[in-house]
Amino acid sequence: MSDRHTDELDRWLAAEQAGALDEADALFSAVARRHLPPLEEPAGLSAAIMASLPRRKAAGWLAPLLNLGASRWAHATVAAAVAVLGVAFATMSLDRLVGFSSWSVEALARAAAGTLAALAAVAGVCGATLALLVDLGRAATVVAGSGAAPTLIAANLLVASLAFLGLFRLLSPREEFS
Amino acid sequence: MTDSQLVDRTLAGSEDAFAALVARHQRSVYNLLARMLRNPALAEELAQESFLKAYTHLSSFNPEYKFANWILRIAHNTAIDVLRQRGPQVVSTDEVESGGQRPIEETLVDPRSDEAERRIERGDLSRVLGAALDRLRPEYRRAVVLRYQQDLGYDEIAAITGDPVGTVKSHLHRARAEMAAFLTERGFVQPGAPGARRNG
Repeated sequence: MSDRHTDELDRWLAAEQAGALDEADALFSAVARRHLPPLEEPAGLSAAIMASLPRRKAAGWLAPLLNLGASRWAHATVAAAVAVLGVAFATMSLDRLVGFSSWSVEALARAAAGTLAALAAVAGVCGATLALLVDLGRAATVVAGSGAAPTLIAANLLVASLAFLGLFRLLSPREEFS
Repeated sequence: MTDSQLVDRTLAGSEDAFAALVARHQRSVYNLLARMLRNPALAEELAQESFLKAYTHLSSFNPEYKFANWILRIAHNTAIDVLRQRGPQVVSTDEVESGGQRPIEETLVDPRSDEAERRIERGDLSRVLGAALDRLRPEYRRAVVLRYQQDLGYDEIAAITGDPVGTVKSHLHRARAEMAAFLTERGFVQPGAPGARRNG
């Protein structure tokens, strides 16, 4: 070890003892640079990291879609959609809900049969959705006409808001990723 | 190529670009984790996890932020999560590096002997400084690593650890004072001190 290096150590220790904080900071920085190097990573760490990555290379054209799926807006949209469905289901009768679910499964099966069948199914889904919206409107009208309307509406809004906030928080990236 | 360009290329589907980012930052990430956890095997595992998190959340990376600091922040938070779950590890990185066969006290210098200079010449100062660092409280240790090994500013350290800048400065001051005391107790005495024995 040269005198210069020993001097750095001595001057740092002296600065600490004298309470010269800025000088001690600079001097210790020099000591650490020379005598406290970062620990070396184990051999093969880089390869292990790359091997652990999910395969995405083959789907290069999908990358923009995957990136879109990871965005806050996509998460917010999904959360909003789930909240809307929650409100819809809360105002539907059980029979109607079961009927709609069964019909949807059938539509999906038909869609898998071929392109024409799929187009027909999509059209059917649109029709059923329209019918559902009409039913929802009717149900809302009936509820609004009853004495319990304000309470039900307030309860549904509360449930929808909680669902939205909860899902948004759950699906949003952690703070360090932003 | 800059980190920002490599991030863009990774987002466009290039794994080679991400491999370049890993190669560039794996040492700083591993070093922070190994110093924080004092467990090389766990540090390796968490380094892998940190880069995986970075890869899967790369689209949310803000280009105004340095990638180097972003990945360190991810690693730091990953380590904090594990420390909360498992409690601090007690294995010294220096002991592990030397195969666990040589207790650190054996490498230290008797203040009454003339051994100090010869040991410094053999590089033992690095070992003693490493031991002094290992004995610090975890929050002091991470501050020292980020400041003196990663050359980060106070505000950058604050952004990574989530501590106020004043707290970071306080941690660094106390950390240096404790390390200085550790060295002084072991014979690395500054000139002019009572009973001083100059090492150079």
